[in-house]
Amino acid sequence: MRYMKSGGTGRGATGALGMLLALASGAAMANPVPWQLNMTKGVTPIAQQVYDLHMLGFWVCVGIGVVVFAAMGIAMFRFRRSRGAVAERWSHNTRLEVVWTVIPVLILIALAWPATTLLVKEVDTSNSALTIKVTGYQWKWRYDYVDYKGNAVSKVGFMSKLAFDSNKARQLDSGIDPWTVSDNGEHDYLLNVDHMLVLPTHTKIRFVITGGDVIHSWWVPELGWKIDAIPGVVNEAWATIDTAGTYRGQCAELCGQDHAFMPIVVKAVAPAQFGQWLAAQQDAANLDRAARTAQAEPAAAQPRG
Amino acid sequence: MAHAASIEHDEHHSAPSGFFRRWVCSTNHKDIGTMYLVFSLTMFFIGGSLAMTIRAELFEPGMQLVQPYFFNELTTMHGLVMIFGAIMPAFVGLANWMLPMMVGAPDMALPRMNNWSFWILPFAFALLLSTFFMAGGAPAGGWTMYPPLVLQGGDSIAFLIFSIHLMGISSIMGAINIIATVLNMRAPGMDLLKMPIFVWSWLITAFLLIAVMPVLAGAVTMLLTDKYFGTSFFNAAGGGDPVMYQHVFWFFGHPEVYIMILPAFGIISEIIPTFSRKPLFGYKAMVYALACIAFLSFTVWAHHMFTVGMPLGGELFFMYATMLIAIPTGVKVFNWVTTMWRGSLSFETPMLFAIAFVILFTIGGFSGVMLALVPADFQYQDTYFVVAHFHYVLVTGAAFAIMGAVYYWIPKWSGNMYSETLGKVHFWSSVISVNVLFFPQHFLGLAGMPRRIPDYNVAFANFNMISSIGGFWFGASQLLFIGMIVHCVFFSKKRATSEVWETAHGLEWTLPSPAPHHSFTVPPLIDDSKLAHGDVTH
Amino acid sequence: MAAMQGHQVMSPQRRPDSIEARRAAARRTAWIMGGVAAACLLAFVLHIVLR
Repeated sequence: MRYMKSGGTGRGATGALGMLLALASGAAMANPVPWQLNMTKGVTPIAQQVYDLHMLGFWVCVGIGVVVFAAMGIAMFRFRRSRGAVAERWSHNTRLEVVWTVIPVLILIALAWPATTLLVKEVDTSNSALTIKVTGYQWKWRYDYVDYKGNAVSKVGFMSKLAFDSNKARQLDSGIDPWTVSDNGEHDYLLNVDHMLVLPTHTKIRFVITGGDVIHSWWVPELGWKIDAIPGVVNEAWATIDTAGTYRGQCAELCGQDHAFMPIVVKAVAPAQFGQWLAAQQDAANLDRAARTAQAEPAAAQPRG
Repeated sequence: MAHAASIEHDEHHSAPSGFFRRWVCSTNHKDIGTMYLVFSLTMFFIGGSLAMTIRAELFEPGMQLVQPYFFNELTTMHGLVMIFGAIMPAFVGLANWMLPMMVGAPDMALPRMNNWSFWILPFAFALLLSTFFMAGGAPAGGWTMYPPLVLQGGDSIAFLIFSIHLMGISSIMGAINIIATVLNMRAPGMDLLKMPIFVWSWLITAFLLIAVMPVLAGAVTMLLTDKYFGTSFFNAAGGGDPVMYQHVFWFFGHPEVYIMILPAFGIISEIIPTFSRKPLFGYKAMVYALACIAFLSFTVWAHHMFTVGMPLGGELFFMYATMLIAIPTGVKVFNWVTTMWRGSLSFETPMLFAIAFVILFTIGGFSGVMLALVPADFQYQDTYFVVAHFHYVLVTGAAFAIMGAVYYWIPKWSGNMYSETLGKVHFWSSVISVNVLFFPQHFLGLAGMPRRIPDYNVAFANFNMISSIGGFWFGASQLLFIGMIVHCVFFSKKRATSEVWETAHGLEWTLPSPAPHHSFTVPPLIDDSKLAHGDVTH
Repeated sequence: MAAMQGHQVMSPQRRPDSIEARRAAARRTAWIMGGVAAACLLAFVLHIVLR
């Protein structure tokens, strides 16, 4: 293909090396990395438990797979006609059939139990300190800060859409190599926005999520869940972020032509820093509505004809 | 055997001459079955070429080949063509060919309706595929047609909905025909619990079709009135509910998943005993497991929509019900493995496809169990993990079973043996490439790549490229399948015997190869020892 | 064979031997199943309308 540079493999190798280094240093994989094989452990206690549940399910499947496929492998090796195997004629064994009906039931109960307790925790959005309203539009997100520590926040909200450099590179035949789209060495092609959602760490954040036109889905893997943004429906979810950082996600429900181009970026900062940021936003909103508009939507600040 | 007399009555060349009379006016189950299979193969290649374009665009990050909207048209049409055009007609074609021969009936119960069931399909798909050439393009809202998005499409939506109505009518008539044939046309002595499992699987599937195709027709009709007649079934602004569409759609959609896999279970239950030279283990358990899966399939639909924000009780119910399906499915897998145990195995191409089915379908089942865990599904939902899951179930599941069935029965259909070398090359090429194609998609989904996107972050580049290479390889491998069929039907010099496979049991193997145009015009006398499952005590 | 009869779910005698009679029975089954499909559609419509 045209943009396949000879350095493609080299880049892949660098990426793999980077991931190995990240694993060796014990750092959590915050954003997708080349050759990533597994789900992120996330940055919230819930995301960690989701990861644990995922791994439990995975190892249970591996265990069953080993038994079943080993039995098949032995059968295929030992009972082949070319080795002179003679077929026996039996065709049922009630005890055996009861055994392999009952054992899976027990295994499934062992899986359903942790899944149920975790789900009960995930749906409990009570006692949150911050409420964010998320609205999905074709093809951007709107974030409104509703309340913080029991006080209503007014007029702090903005649109968040695909960053300019990604948007330029993603046009058909743009001639721009996606690998050149980066920020501080992080390849953030299609995973960067013009205005990040700023959130405090160590705070229970409640998200209320809806859709403005068609159905979208708000997903940041590091938070451990996604939930659909549906017109006429207000969904709820929550997260308590443990680690400051920048966490990237994407719309996860087909929403039209630019479905791939409405990323989500969460910037988690310390609560004190967040308080200052929110106060500044609030002041700006109260003092000068135009200034706030200009900051959130540069294009809208242009004089209109 | 008494039916030998009836075979001599049958004229091998009693088929009407002339293309129009032989094929267009056909009421013969074998000819209609052939037409279904040829149609399905055509659609498999059309849907496959859409998939090749998708994989070419996803070969590397950046947009190189198609506009994003056209990409959505490709994914939507790929899904519709493969499900309704390739997999379902292939199973109906196999049912047409084999069911009357397996139960000792002279033909399907309603031969003229059978003709109609088939001939609706080319028109339905001509309508559907014509939308590619319309102003505004083909439907681009995904094969699931979720409103409000799908209603943003152009007038192709009307064509889509009409073609789905036609496919639904075709499926319902086909299902009615199968039920009437199996319940009423069996030869005396062919009791229900002596029927081959393939017949059982289709009987149960036909009931599923009759129950859910009207629901799909209703759902898409509501889309039609929402778009053109001012109703607001799914329009939140008018008091409707977009989530209700998803409930209705998946009430059809989940049984549909089993419509596409139960006949595959039936095929595998025919092939494995033949090449293990040992009766199917736990015949009754297999029948009950089929019925159990079919029943449960009506109670699990909302596991496709765990992230729409259902109440906790709903999420838990659908999680538990979904996990429950793993039990009868597990019984089937264990029984297949036990059928092989202490058999005398040989590995002709049908057996290779059957073994690959058991292993790879089980892998698809494993990811299915993982997907059932709601909190984990909040991460998996709408990612490539799901894409990998359902392609393991539908490609290495349903499609591999169909290919195995073609290899298994084509000597009976054509009277010639296929080339075992060509078959083995086709198998190994397919089974390796399909894993190169779909296995890395698990990693992509877990790493965070959503499905239905034409472009992605560079972190996903490596596995997408591997997956695309596997895709092109798998696509090219299927040309060998065509080659095998053409060679077998027109060029093969090796004649097939009536029994074709040593120790193959069942009425179809008592007929000569190729099967005469009219078979069992006089019901055969059933000799239990010649049946795949003559011993009803088990 | 005689010993087997007790296990048979539907004995041959219960179904007519002649192909014409079997075809007639099949047509009845087809109408019933068509009715079932129509009933499914009706149930669905009522479910939506009376919701």
